Amino acid sequence: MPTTSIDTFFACTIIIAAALISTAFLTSSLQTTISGSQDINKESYLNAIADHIVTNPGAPLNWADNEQAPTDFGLAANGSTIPYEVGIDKITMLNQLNNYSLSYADIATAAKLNNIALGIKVSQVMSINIQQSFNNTMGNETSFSFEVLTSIDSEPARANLHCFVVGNKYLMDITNGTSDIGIGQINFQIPRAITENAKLIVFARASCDDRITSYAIYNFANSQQQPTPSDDVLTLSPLNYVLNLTTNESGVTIQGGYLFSFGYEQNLTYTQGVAQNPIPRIIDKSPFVIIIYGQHNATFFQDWTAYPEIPLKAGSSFQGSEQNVFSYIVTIKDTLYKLDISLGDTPPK
Amino acid sequence: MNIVKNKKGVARVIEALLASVLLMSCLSFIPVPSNMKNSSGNLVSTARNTLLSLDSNGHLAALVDNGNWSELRTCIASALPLTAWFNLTVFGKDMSIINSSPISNAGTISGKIVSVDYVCASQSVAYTIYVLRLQLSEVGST
Repeated sequence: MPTTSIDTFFACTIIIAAALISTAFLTSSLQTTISGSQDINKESYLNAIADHIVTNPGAPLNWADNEQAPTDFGLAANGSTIPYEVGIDKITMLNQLNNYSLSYADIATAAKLNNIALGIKVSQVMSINIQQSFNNTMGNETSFSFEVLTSIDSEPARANLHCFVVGNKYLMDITNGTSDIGIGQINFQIPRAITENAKLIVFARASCDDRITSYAIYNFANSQQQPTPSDDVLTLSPLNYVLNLTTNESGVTIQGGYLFSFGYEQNLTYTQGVAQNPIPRIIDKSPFVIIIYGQHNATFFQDWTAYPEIPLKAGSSFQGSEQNVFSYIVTIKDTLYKLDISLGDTPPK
Repeated sequence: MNIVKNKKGVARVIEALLASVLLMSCLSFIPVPSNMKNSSGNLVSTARNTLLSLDSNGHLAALVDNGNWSELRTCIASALPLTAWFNLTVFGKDMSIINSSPISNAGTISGKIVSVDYVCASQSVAYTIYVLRLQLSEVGST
């Protein structure tokens, strides 16, 4: 074979190899570009879906008034002039602890999302942590000291505190505040007899904005903070400013109740044997905490709930699947809350 | 004669090498996509939501009226996630900067900065107009 042919063959091989490498590089580069633009489009349309859920009231416009699942899912308060205001009862109907809660199937059908998982999380803007630091019993009185920590997104926040201690027909309130490092102290004395079943309700209002008001409950029975209501004896389902009571045990006698907010405390009118009782429309930039007390087999009990029933999580758990979270600050009954809408692939079966 | 033929063969190899170098260098002009998961749309939505929600009752304008910049900073920070970097600039109606101290949080910026302008009016009798410019980005590792 002549040397020229060998050189020509070698030159062709180089050209073909270079062309193949270029093609492979171009393919992978284009593939990344295409999938990248798909991601942008996906995030964009998921963001639009989340915006639609938060800013539209759905259909019927006041669907929570009928205590029925909507035909079109939306959380915005109907006819509100406040941007990003969410309906108190629409949110409450997402809490699985409420007797009138929507199922995931109801939400998914009304949201008309095919092959997209939906999750909703609502939480208080400011977190409250209650820790008992001291207690001492002398005679019939017990003294308590509690440390209250307030924070927003794990950053300490200064807040004003209004606390209530409620026991067996016993009620007292304490006011104080937390410092710039988010720490405050509350001290009080209560009758020894009520310490077993008493609850400490702490409301904290951020100094930077009075709409950032949160609550927390401390249960003396187990010396722990109670993030969600217990429904051992009663299930309390507030909706449309009506408190629906369901007894989970026999031998229950309800004696009365209280409604608390940051600025107010009011006795609830309870009619014996009536399952639905009105909730007063107190004007206060604060969540309500409702306590119902009575006797269960001759033992004192008190159960509680919040209105709106927050914190809550509804919808898909997104275990093992992609989750895109869109966070909003929303107004519910003049109070600010954090609302996270999660959208993504349906979990693998 | 053989020497001339050999030289032609070498010339082809050199041509091929040059063509390959040209082809490869062309590839460098193709933009390599970097971190295509750009969430600027989401950041704009977050910035707009933050300003609208916080000022729904004229609260931001009231803080500007009082020149309460530290409270304004706390207020904005409380509404934004920890992973967000922000810088707020307050302008008067003639677009002169009003805030005497920076209204920002610390953090290393990763990704691009989005900016949202929001016009608000004081609730006082003076009815002063302010323009709030909220710049937002993500913090964290690049």
